[in-house]
Amino acid sequence: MFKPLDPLLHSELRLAVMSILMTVESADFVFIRETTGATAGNLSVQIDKLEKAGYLSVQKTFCGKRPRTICAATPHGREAFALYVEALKSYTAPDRS
Amino acid sequence: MQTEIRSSSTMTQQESLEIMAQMIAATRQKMEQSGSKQLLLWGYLSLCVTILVYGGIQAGWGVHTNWLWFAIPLIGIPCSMWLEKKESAAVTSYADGINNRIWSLFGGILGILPFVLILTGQSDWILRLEMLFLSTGIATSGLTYRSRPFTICGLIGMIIACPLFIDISWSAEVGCMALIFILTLIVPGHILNAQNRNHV
Repeated sequence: MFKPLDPLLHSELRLAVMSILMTVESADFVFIRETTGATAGNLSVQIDKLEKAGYLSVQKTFCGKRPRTICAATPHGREAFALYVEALKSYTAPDRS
Repeated sequence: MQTEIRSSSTMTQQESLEIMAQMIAATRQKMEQSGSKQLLLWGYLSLCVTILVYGGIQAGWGVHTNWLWFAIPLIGIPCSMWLEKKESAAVTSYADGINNRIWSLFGGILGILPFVLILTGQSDWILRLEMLFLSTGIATSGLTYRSRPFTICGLIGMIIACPLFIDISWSAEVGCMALIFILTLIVPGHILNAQNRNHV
């Protein structure tokens, strides 16, 4: 039986953002943008969606005079990611039934 | 490693797994390029002050030369804060988070200890305990990061700190301290620098 995939995570950019944040405690916006290769505007929209869903927390600070946005996955986001990976396994497992 | 990411599209399950693997690999690769300037700053500063205090006492400046030890935190803390601001990491790994908390604890101990010991009239113990805590902190960092040079240098530092607890000459005491600063701060700092250069 195929498990349903979380539509919020089943998008390339949002999944990429969550994958990065699952391996670190926090990462700033520039780092995520460079790693994903996404545009700032697009990334901003996707981060906003993930934040509204409670999957990540966004903290706005300053580094000198430059604004800095730091993102971190929330426990709810980590759980959702783990469930997404679990659901994916039901599609890729050889003995699915 | 960079992938072109579209905003939203229908992905296959295989594509999902590929994105996850690529992002995790790219994040790990970038995290390895962290700096080692803090170690070198504290290492060379401490070594210079040690030489200055030793030279001062040898030159007959008297016991008040020991106040120069306070130049380490007085110069080191602002420089360290400036470096941190200038080179704030784009990403904080779990190990970084743990390491920051370890050094908040050890930094607090190293900062408060001299004042407590001076106030309680136990100032003879300041340098001994500071050396032991510094080496312990480096060894703990090494174990957290699973870094062999840090762990070994920290452990050797702890061993070298032991003679400070018995009665040895002032010159030998200063020699032990200089060796501890070199082994626990300067050597790991340069090793990290070399590793980063190789990865870039």
